[in-house]
Amino acid sequence: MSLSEITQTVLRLVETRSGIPVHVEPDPSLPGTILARVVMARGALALHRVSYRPDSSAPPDYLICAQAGFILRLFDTPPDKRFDFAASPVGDAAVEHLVKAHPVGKALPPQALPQLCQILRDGLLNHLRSIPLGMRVDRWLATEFPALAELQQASVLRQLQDSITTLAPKHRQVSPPKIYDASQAISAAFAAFWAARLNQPQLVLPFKAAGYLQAGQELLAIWEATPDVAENDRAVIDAWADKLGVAGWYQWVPYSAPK
Amino acid sequence: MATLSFSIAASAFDTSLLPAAARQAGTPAFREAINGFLAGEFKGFGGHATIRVDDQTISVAWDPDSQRPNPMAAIVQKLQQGKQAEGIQLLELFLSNHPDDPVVLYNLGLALSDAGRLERAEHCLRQAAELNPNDTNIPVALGMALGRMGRCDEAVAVLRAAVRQEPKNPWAHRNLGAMLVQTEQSDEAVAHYQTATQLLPDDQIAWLGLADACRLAGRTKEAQDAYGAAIKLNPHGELADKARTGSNLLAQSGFDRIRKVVPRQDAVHYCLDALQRVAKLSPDELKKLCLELALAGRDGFAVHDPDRRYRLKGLEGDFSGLAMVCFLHVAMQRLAPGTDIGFDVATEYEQAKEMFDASC
Repeated sequence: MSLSEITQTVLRLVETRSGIPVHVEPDPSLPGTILARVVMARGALALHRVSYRPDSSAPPDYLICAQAGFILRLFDTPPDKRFDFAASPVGDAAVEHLVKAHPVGKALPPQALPQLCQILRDGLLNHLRSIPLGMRVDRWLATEFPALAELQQASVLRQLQDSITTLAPKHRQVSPPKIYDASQAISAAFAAFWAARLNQPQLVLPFKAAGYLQAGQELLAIWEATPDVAENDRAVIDAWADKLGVAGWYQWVPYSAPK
Repeated sequence: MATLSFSIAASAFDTSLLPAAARQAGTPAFREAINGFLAGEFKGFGGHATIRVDDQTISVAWDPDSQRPNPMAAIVQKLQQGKQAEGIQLLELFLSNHPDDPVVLYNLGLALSDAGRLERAEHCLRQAAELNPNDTNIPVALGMALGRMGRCDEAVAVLRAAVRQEPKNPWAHRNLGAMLVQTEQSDEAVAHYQTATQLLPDDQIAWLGLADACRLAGRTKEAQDAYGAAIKLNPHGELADKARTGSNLLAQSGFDRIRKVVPRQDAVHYCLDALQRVAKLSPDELKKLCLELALAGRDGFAVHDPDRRYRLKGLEGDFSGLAMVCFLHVAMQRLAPGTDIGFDVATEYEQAKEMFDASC
């Protein structure tokens, strides 16, 4: 099966299982290091929108299929067990408290604080949700569509290098330790997962040197011990949040299907 | 396999991976142990790893395909291992082939400065600065070299320019703070050290510098807090010992100012109270008390903060820092007369002892 055939197959799978069409488009303006993202159909939006950062050196098939995999995870659960992951007032208050007590928070003008809080909160919560689910999707893609392996590996290594970059002192200094440590532990879990799959043990070394490998391995053990069923996705995220001391920083909101 | 590069703060390295004797950041043993650990980890992966460790940052670049080590990295590694003469010789050799390489000139300048060959260091660093005026680390190193030559005013000017060029460079602020202290401009030094501690909240040297600057500027409370922060970052190293010494100096200087007029009556009272309590103790109980007091005072007692309270096993109530110092002095005089506890309350003790003896 060619790459484009695989992508078409995966997208058809999404449309069949969710009953909702998928729209795919390139988006060079995706923020930061984000390579692709999905906005799932909900409420008045009657289609799933997958966007990816165009890259002339690599076709976008893996990025599209991975985002489609997130949609499938949601629709693989019964309708009454479909939930969206959202920020919570408790999390907002916790992040604000940590930021205000941090030297960077003290040095910033008050009007800049909400924006910094939002960046840190969204960064951590997005990481908390996307890494454990993404690893499930990646394992599924690797099993079902081995032709994607090369693109998958390139994308994963790029993500890992982006994560490793955040170990640098300049990143560490601008984030309260609780948020930074939680985020790095999640990245360490991701690195440990891929180090084992790709047989590249050096990938965990930066996290080991910075003291995050053990925390990452503990998160990975939780992930491994939880049966790979879409209904368990919330439980894995909750267990990771609990382990990282950020339980309650987000809420599960019933998914609002398109009308 | 893909290339891998990363950098982390030296203070963020997991020291449990190092031998117990090499866990003090900022020491040659620490740098060498990290180098050894990382080199050992990469050994099994093939390719070539370039590892650079300085007091602030650990930088690693690993290339799975390269079998040819980068000579510059090997030289820097030698310098970090304390092999200065060899490192300088190799850098000079390297420079003869690359006379306009600012990286070589910068590293040679740093090494020469550390080795005390300051005039040559200045020459190399000025040349490096001309070739790469955008790298603020070069004037930071130049400022240090000038300071070591005793040309402190020039050093201050160079470091001020470095701060202007890169206001968020913590080393520029930290070194400028050090130079300002040397030129008796402690008030201004405090501001730069404060910035350095904001930019590098885990840097023990910056906190110690801030504490010393505050002490010299007469900002007692801030100095005490900064000494506390420096000790907390790594309570077992040489820098923590320096912070404890500074903290004791701070306490002693404030105490002496007040005591110059008359013996402090609160200290007399505390000594008398201690004499009364100690008199009831057996020799074994006294030894235990001395040990407990010495442990409680390992990080210094807050003698200027009457709100800070301490408790001791087997003694009722809580005690201020000054009371604890008096207790320690009294207990030690009973156990080993003439012992110097590093805080002079001898006059108050003598007065209290006269009162105590008279009451017996």
